Amino acid sequence: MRPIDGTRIKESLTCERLPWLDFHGPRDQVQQPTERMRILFQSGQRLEARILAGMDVESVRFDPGQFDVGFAATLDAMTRRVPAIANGVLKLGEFLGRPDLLLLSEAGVYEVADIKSTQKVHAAAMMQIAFYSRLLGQIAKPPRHGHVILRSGERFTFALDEFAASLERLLGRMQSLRNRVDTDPGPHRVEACVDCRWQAVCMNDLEVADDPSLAPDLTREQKGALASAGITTLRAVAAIADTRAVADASGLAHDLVTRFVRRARAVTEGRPQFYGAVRPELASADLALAALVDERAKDAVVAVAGIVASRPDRFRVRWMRAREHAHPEQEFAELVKNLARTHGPLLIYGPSVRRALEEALDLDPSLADAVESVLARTLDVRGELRRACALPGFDRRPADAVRAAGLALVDHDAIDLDALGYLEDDARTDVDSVARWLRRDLDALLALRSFVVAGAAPS
Amino acid sequence: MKAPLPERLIAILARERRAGAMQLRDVHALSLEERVEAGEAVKELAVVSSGKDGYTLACPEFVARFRAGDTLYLGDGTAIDAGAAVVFREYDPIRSLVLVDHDRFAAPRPLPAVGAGAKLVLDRRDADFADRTMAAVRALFQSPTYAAARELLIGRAPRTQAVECVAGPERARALGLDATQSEAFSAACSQPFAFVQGPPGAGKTRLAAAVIGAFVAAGRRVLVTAFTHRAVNNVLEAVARTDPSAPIVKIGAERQFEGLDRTRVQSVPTARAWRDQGGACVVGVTTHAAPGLLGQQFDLALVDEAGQVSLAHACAVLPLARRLVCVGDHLQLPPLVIAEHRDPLARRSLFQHMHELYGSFLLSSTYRMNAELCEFPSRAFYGGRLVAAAQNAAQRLCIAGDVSPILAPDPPAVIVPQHHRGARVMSHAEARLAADLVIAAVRGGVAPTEVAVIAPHRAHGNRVRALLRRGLPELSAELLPVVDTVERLQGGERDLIVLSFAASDPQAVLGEAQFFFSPNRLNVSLTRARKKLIVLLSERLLDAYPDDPESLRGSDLLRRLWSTLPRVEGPASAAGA
Repeated sequence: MRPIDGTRIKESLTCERLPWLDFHGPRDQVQQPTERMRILFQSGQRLEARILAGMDVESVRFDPGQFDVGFAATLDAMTRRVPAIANGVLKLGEFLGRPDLLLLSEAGVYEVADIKSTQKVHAAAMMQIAFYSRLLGQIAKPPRHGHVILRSGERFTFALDEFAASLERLLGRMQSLRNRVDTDPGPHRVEACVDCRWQAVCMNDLEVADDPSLAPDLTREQKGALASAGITTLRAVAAIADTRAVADASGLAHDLVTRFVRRARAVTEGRPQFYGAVRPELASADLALAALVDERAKDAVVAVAGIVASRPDRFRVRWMRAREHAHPEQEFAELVKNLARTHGPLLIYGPSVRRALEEALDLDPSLADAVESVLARTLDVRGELRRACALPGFDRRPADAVRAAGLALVDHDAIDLDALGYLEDDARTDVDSVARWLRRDLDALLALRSFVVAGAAPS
Repeated sequence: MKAPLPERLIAILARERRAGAMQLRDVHALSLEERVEAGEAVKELAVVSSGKDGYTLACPEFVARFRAGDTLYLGDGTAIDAGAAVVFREYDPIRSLVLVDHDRFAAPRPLPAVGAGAKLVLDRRDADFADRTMAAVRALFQSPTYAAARELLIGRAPRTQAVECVAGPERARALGLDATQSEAFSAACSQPFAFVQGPPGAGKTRLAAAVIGAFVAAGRRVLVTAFTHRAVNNVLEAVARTDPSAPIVKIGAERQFEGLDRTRVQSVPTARAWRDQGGACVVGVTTHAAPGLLGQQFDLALVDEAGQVSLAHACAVLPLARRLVCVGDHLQLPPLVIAEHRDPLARRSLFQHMHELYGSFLLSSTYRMNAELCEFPSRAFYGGRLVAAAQNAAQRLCIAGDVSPILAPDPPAVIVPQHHRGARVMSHAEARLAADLVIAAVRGGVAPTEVAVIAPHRAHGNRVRALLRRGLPELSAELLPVVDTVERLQGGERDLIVLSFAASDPQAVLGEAQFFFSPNRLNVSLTRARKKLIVLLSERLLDAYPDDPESLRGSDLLRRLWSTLPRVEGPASAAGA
């Protein structure tokens, strides 16, 4: 039986079923990591190596799978009071931990530090470190703090007792799943499924059951509430005629039920469902902006680009925060000044552009007024899309929305992977991949604009 | 390298202003129906009367989020910013009237002409005080006159600077202050600055009034300030009660005198209109209006609820006095921040800042909660140092007649597990239970003014309120128990509090994790009750793991609460809402 380990703890926050499948699922149906996940994993390894190279560490070495050997070596290093132990093993009963670092504090207690390729601290990382720390506390003197070492090298330290109850609940759930006290939570589609090693298994189960979560953005609880009203399949959701009666029976808000019905119909009919109006200025907006934001890091902006709709050849990428760009502040100033000279609404998609411009004020606070005037003119195509239309797919990124809307888009995955590779690989300097990503998103933005204007009712 | 402090503060203010303007723009882009649905507009209004102060409007249905002081447009609902600039005063639910005042600070504009039978609409309007606050920040850091205030803000003020001692321990004894209050009082009266952390019910306002009274008795001039008019008025009223002869002035518009005895407190409309009469006085003004007093010098500035005052707003206050006392609690409600900021300074209050630089005095007795109600907040937030005072440690809620075990006097704090599913902002079943408990308490002899329901979301609160109106028809609307968000109850207390979370979807609540799982809001929510706290909570919420560390910490507190408080099952009901 597979142990409960830190990775499983971390991943359980994304999907309730994932640990169950890891413990009990058909192993012959586990998929290989997607190209995206491989790139991210390799990037994580390079980051770890770079950070460890700057420290005086003793690495624990053992053959793959030989965790008992690794554990013995880790205990030996701890007994010798090695100040920093890399890639140690902590093993106790059904629990297994492989923290990146065990650091000997000034108080003489070992504390766990994990290296993450993100710019911000996330709950999953904290729970993983809390888990390692709990294991450590059963082997040696319990630590009081855990540490997340971020992509920038910055260290975030937190008090473990402030998160103890959270870890205990997670562990309890893990143990219940592993020991089959709890049954299979069942599949439920979320956006992260696309990269999951169990995607094929779950999608098969979802389609066989005609699961309502095949329509996007339905939570498990909402699915459960619909089930309590006798609505248990996607087609049943799509067939709901009396939304108020279902809202009353399920306890869900009426507008939520209405939204689910529209999305379910979009999926079952294989086409978007229009129901609302859009702002009239959407049709006439002539300039679109896209920003590349590393979604995992949530705040690592690489570039902002613009395109003039009436002159699609006029595509400009400005302001790269990329390392090889010597003067990002000049590029940013040029971008903002050029934008401030334009007129009319500026089409954007979601919060990325706003966030990118706001954060870049760190480069040049004197541009605040110009940024403000630019931001005031932004018109969010995703917001208008959601007001007017239900798509049969996720819409968080323009390329996803285009695909869900059934519009043509070139080289979706290849462009994403190229740009992702550029983001992750410090050695590469190919900004063309970023430019291709941005151009693709801008074209998607304009296509979605035309799509929703054509389909929506007049405002 | 970080930018200098004034640049950071101005950048934060600028970002807040942009975020406010963007939010408003997004709201104004919605249709009228969407705005009304979101609580950001009121439609179908008709002018009943108009006068030099404002308008009285007939209003068939009011479900907006407007609060007293909110700046609004009164117009036709389409050309929103062509409407007349008004300020919301109140909604009278008995007569279905909305009262709004002319905004004296905005350019006067007549009401737009509407056709016969057409109605008016109230829409939100931006109230931008950022320029004034930015000017105050620049003044603090650029003027040589304010060097001492600057040094205080950046942590270089000497504690040993000799200042007059306006009152000694004998005065503290005469006032009946307890040990920690006396210690804080002595420091405030004898040191150039003092910071007093007042956990819930610890007597912050009483201490503030005592310090102010000591300065007034010594013939000194005192500035009282806070973020809200209500907080300023609380302190001024407390001063008036303890020292009826103290000359007290409140700066503000007529509608901003709620809770003040007008026979004891003089009113002045603006800071610039205030004139120093010489001699001792107490002047109350909000931090927004404080920049209007720049150039004046008080002997003491007392900042109340300093945990809700941002550092930027503090810049307008610090130059106004030779000495500073801050009373507050950085573990209760923080400064209001609407934008996303990378700079942690944006969420840092004046109190937290000073507490970390100079330390603070902790008031360790609570005169509100009984011992059992005090236990969890004391351990979770105050390191176990907060204890119930002897006089209230054993107080219990007594309800006549045969009542549900949920309302039994013991245990004083209980969780009633909720079994509905999929609720994000409202649950009918939970609203029903909350209302039933309140109705049973009132019928059993608990005064309606001693009961309140705390609900995070307006929709849920509205539902509870509607059920109370139906279930307590003998009570007029203004006498019904309060149902509101925790922000409206900070500083308030009741014998019985029902805390109704309403939500049961762990994924859905993650979208507003910073609001829902704020440790500070949880602290305030758990510490309003004197005798009995009933928490309506779904166990499913315990499976929510918010992504940011602060919200994750709040969710951990909720999990600890679940495992600490005794659980009492509610009446059997359908699992649906």
